[in-house]
Amino acid sequence: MSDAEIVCTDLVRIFTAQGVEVQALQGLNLRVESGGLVALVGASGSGKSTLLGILSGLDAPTAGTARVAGHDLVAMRRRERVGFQRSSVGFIWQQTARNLLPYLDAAGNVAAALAVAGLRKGRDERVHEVLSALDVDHLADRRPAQLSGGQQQRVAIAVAIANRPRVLLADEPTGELDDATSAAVLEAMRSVNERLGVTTLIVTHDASVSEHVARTVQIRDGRTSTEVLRSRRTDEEGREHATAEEFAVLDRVGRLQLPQDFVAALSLRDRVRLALEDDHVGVWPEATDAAPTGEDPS
Amino acid sequence: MARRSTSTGSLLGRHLAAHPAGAVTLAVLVIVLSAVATAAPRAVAAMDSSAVQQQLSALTPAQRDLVSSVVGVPEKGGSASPRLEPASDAVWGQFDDAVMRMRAEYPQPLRSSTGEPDYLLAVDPLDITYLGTGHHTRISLGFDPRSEHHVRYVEGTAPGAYTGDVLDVALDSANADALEWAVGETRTFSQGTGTVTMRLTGLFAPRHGTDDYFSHAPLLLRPSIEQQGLGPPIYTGTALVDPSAVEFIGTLPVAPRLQIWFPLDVSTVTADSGDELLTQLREVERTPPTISIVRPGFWGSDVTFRAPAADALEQALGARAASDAVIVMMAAGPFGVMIAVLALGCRVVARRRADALRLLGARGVSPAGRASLLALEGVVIALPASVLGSVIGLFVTPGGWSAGLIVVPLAFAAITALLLTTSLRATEGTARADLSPAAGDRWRVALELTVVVLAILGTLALLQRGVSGGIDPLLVAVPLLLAGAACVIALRLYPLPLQALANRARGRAGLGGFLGPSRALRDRAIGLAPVFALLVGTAVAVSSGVLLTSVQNGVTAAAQTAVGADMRVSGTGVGADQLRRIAAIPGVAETAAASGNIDGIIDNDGRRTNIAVVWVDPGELAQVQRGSAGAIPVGGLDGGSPGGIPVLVSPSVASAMAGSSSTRVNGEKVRVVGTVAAPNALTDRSGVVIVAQRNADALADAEADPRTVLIRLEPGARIPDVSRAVTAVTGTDATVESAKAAAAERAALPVAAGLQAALTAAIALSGVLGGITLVMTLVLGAPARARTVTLLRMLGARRGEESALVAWELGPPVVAAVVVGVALGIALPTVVLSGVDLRAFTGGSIQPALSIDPVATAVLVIGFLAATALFTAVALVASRTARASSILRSVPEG
Repeated sequence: MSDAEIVCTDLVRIFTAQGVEVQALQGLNLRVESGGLVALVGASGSGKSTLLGILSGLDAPTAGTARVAGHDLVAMRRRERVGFQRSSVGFIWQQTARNLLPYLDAAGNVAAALAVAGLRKGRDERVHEVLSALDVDHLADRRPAQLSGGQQQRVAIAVAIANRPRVLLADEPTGELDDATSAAVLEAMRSVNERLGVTTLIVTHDASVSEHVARTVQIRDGRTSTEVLRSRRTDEEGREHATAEEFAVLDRVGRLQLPQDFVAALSLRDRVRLALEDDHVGVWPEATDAAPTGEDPS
Repeated sequence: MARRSTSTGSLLGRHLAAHPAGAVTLAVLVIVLSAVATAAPRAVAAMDSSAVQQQLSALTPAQRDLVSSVVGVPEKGGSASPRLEPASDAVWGQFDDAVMRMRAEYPQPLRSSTGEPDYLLAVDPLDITYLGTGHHTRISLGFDPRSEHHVRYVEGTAPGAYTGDVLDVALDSANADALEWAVGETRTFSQGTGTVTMRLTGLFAPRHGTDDYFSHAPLLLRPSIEQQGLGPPIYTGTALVDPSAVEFIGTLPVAPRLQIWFPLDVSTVTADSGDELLTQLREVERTPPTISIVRPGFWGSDVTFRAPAADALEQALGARAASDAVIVMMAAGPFGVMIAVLALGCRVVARRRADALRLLGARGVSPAGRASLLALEGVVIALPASVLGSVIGLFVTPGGWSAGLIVVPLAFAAITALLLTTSLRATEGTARADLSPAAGDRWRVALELTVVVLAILGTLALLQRGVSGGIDPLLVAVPLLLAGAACVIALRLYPLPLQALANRARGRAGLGGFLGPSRALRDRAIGLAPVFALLVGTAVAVSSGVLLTSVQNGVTAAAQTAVGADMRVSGTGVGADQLRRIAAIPGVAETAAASGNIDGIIDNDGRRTNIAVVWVDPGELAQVQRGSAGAIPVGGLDGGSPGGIPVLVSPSVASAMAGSSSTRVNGEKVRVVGTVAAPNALTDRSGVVIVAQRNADALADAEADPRTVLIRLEPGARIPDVSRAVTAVTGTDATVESAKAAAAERAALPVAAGLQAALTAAIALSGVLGGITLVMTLVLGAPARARTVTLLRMLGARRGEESALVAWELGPPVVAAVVVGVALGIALPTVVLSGVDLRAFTGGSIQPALSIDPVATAVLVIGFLAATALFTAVALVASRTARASSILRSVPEG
């Protein structure tokens, strides 16, 4: 499928330090369609920041392939990486220090991103345009230290989209914000995604993010494990229903991770029984008598 | 509020203007370093120049100026552009043109170093007898068309034109008094077979207070007086006559002597232009000028010039080369430290830019772009700072401005930009120091091996080949290479005892004891640059101290050798009674007299050599010279005379005696019992034979009064008092010198004083740079340290334990650097300085031995450590103000 903006296949990243190996990504698969808004949720140490580092071109995978906005991140050379970072992707990190230059005001930060990409004509107009899009135009001459956390992240979003990237990557954009502000920032990102059609990947440990996005991917132990798809449906009487369905992710060779609560509820350990039915696969604890219908497992 | 410009220039400006603290630190550093780099060579050049000038100034004008003395008179003819009076010009004009043209054609710097030429045509003195009194006198007649530049008439007038009968003359008052000749009086003298009539028309005096003109013609001002037997003295003086009366010389039976001289302006001779000037002076000596002279008869020679200053200049330049070699070598260390400190300063600036550069990198600024940003910042900071520093350096040192001086600020701007660019890597990534990849380690080993191997090869080459004169690249490189090698060794070795400590501490309680060594081992806060700076700083301080002590001892030894004892009286005969009175002066412990210093002849199988004979009382002399440097080894002089009279001879006499079994001095067979350096305290001649008083009768008239008295003073005697008392006994004709005063005089010579100043400056500079290094290291390590300390504080660590942690962080490398630095500082002079000629600094003829003053060295090292501790404390107090919350939150997560 060619219109996927983010494609990761069997992505592996191993860190080596003085003889100790840490496998941060263990064959991760992820697809985000063009214009999609996806949240990648995982606990601390699950490998989500490593993935974002690779997707933003700051780190390289040990094995596997990764394509973002049409660029092969594994084969990418320095020159291409520079162009990729200038105009194909935008980033938002949790820490302001990594998003905004502290000594430039909001307008200056946006202008700096434009300057890096080589935009000369109409720079002021573009600065005004993106700041207005995020409703922070009135804060244009304030430096990051003079902005609240939410305002800082809005400016960071404005900076990230200044060069009209095809993909927006956000690493814990709400990590340092309270709930209400978080919601506002996430809404701002959703609105950017909807209005500009920019493919957006938000990486977070905050499960509440999933309420603001259509698709939430769980990452666990360096792999994507489950997905939650949300949709809104209007019934015949005009009432809106929000539905959320949870899916497990199946990789190319058919591996899948069972959700932690499923495993806990049935005390699944070491081995499980499997059975293929017409339209589903059944899973039983090894020592259960509730034998699958059909044939005797013994 | 008006919105600020979003142009790239404005953004760049705001980028550069952010975090000014680091930039200001770096700028201050660059100002100091460029001021030192500008001032130091100029100060050395000024010192060299003043040394050269002082040596030339010691010469009389006659020994210094470019001079020509030829028998003959100038060819008659007018000038193309007359500057003389018409009557004189008709005779002298053409000659004057030729002389002026000669100077105009001199190349620079010779042209500006020579003044307007002077000349004087003077006949050899005429023996004349005044018919009035019958007094015999000798008078020379001087012709100088430009004499009015040098003399003015205090009585009467200048001599009138010669009309054929009476010759008008003018004298200075001393000459006129000597001849008892009144102005206006006409005298007729018998001269040879005829008579000559002269009228004294005026008395002149020098127009200017001091005028070197009269050094070339001293008889114009003062008669020379010759006493022959019991008759009246015979005066010889020079009179000025009408310069256009040159043809009058034809009537005289004496030779006309034409002197031409170009005054050498010593103040324009600099050490830099000295070599060129020397070549040009030699060239002038070789090339006869085109000046037409009419020679009487067939004798005489063409006009040639002599430049007696050339030899003195050559000697002075040789001494300068020796002193420059030492200074350049001593400057290499601080220069290396400067670069290390500058690198640290750049690291401080780069560290402050790290966040911004990482962000810009993520937004797509290429590594080259980021490097350019840093380079631009380097130029923006360093160029104005180094220009300012250089201007300060220019102002505090003498000397003019030259285009070459631009190099210093440009070089500093370039170096700073380069160092900042190379600091880019330090800004990337947040990898822990102990997780460095293996590739970096391989590079480090290769680099370290290269430095060590180069240091060994350089040292071997230097030891094998010795030190060449002037600025020797090897001499500059070897100290730096040795310092680099020592640095490698220090960095490699200090973890070993630390590891042992850490292992021992592992089993014990106590935070500092365990965490300290572990942190110092795993997370090194101090890298190569600060260790290098501290190590070289200590080494420079110690080796400067060694050199300073050696030179000071050398100066004292040279002065003692020259004076011979605590005090010396010389220059006049001292009778037995006077000698007794000197010995009785309070403060005088012992005296020893040296007599003779009279001419003698060595006869070595028919080859005869003129020498001086000096006789002494060996017992007295040994007592007086006890413990003094350069004491004359009189031990064997008292022996009997089988096989000849025992004598001490100077090396030149020894070589004149070589190859003969029976050398005679003044006809007496002598036996050489030792050699003694000469000139020495007893004689200013290089060929000298010293004998014991009791053997002297055989060689010379031993009744002569002693001409040199050496004095040993009581401890605590006041030299000025004794000196005055001695002068009261001997009269003012005697010269009374003391070794202390002579040493002080030598120490005040420009070269010696300059070296002392340079070494003191090197010690101070090393201390300051070492301190700055530590401060910057602490600044660089502050965030990491603050994090650790804050974390520990939250875990309940006490304040003392924090300090212990800091001490552990800095202590081991500092101690290692200082220990290895002291060892290097002591080793460096013995390795490198042994071949350098230090005599230029001591004014002696013997190379001073290297001496290490343990007390002074200890004081230096302790002072260095104290300054280090002070800097550390200040920097720590200043960095303790960080807030815990901000520190913990600034830890990058990932």
